[in-house]
Amino acid sequence: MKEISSNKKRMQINKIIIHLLLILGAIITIIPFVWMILTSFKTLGESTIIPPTIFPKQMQWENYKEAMRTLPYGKFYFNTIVYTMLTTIGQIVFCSMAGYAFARIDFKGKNFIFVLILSVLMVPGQIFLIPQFMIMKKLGLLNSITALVLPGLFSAYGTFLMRQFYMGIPKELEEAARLDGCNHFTIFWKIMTPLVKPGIAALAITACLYCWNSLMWPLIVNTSIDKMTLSAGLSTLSGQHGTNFPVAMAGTVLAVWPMIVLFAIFQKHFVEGMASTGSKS
Amino acid sequence: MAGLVFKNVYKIYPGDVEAVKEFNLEVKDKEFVVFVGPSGCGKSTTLRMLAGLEEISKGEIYIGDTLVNDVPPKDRDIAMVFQNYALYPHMTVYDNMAFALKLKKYPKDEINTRITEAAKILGIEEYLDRKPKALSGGQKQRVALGRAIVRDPQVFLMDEPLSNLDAKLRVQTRAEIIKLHERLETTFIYVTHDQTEAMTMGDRIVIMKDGVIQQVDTPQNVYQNPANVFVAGFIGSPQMNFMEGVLISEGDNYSIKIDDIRLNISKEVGKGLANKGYLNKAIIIGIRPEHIYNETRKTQIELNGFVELIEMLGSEKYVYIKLGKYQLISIIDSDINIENHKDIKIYFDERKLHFFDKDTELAIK
Repeated sequence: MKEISSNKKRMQINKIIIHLLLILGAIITIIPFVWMILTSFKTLGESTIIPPTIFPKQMQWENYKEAMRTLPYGKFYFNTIVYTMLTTIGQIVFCSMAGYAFARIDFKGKNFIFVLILSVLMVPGQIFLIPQFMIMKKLGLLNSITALVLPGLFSAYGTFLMRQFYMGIPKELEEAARLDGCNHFTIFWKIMTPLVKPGIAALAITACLYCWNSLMWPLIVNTSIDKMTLSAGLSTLSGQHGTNFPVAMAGTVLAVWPMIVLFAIFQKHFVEGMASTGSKS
Repeated sequence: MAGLVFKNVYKIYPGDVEAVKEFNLEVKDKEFVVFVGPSGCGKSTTLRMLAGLEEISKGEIYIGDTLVNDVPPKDRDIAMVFQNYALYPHMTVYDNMAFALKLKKYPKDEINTRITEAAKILGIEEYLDRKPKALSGGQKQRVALGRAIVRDPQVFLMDEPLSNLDAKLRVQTRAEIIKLHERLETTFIYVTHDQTEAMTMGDRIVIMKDGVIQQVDTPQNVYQNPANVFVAGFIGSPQMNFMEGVLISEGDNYSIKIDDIRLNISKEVGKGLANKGYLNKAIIIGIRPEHIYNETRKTQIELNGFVELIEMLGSEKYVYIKLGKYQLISIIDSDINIENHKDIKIYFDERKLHFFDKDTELAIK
């Protein structure tokens, strides 16, 4: 009896330690976010004061008005939404098809091509910026939504993610479908894809987050303020001769809230997507 | 409705692995044929070649008069029931059953009529709006059968369809499939590793081992006249008892010497074996557990054994008897009193003995 109760105690202590560590991690992650919101309500002077204040002495709603006055938010939202939606749809279409092919169709050189695609994940994305820019320039697409969207239509990560989901579907379903009269496309479209909805949701959320937050490519490919996305537009708030931090933070809060809402709603799928790429063979 | 012909069919996997070798079989129209054998014997592979899910490496398969080697699965006019049901999880039972017909662009009314009829036969009318996950194993299996029935195929293929069901449901569904065959009057090919299923369901049984057919015959013939040691051991539960002995003769008296034990056999049987060249040669003797008798049924061959263990099964008992270096299993009526760990007199009827060549393991006929 004694042994059992001491085991129970040890397990409880372990649980407390794990939870303390998780809480610490959560606090560290959330601090910059909370700081951004708090700063967005401070005056410029208060935001740079040392030692810093945590809570604003007086709520400066003006900062939000100022941010919206300085930048064409309506245009930014529109551009970002179009960019995000087109890229996400493109990734869902192309990555599901590629993922299905890699998971369920036998063809020559399949593994080699798959490794080649995976190798894209192993090099920093910045390497592709210049060649992609050159291609867009040659195509005469600079300063357009098309230029923003094109390179992101396909993703190695998405292909890998979808392949894992398609691989998890029992082979018998595919065989039953073949006997029922399906070809590869109908198997893909009518049988397999409805079964990988959680994967598609995970890919959609990841793609959305990536596009919404993407800075480098939108900044490089579109220099005209009319074609800028939120993140690229926000970067113009940090000036050469000093930055108005509260206004910049207010602008950032305006830019990130849609993604926070999206994440809150689809959190489950997001975690599932992350977990499945790690745990399924 | 159609018969089937397998002509010298081979399945060879990369690395020269022969999963099926020289498979020759003719299945009559409306026949119920069961492929049975241990796992890895090639029975499922053969079925899958017939379905078109595996390529045929060599040989020819005909469904009716059509050579189907290069015909895609959907055009073979067959339906298959899988071990794990393979129902589409995102579709309702109705849609699962309608799927193949919709793809073939059948009119809606026709689809509806067929599904209603099949659902009635299988007793699944009330589940038509449910998704597979809301069904039990037995119900799923009925839906899988229903999906096959609505297509009204020439041949039904079943790949271990009862393996995922519990024992009670298995017996029940087994009987239902037999009735279904009688009702539909279609050719059935059924794959199983369970010899009881094979014996109870098939008009004929195809017993396979290592990709090769061992015997094709009716259940009764397979049981009574097994072609070789493998078939004799595989069919029947508990399996046939085997001993190794040498046929000897002293004048006109013949006996089989099993180590120190003498098994006296009649002149006719002894001569028959001797004429086939087995005198003074080692042979394998097989006897089924129900043919090892005790004091209650004395026959001409009497032997002394020792009871090592008794298993009570309710209506009968399994008695484990030590005979020389061999352990034999005898099935006796549970009313008969046998004492454990005691000597016992056992009796064989020579007409129930099976003799096999020791080298080829083929039955001596």
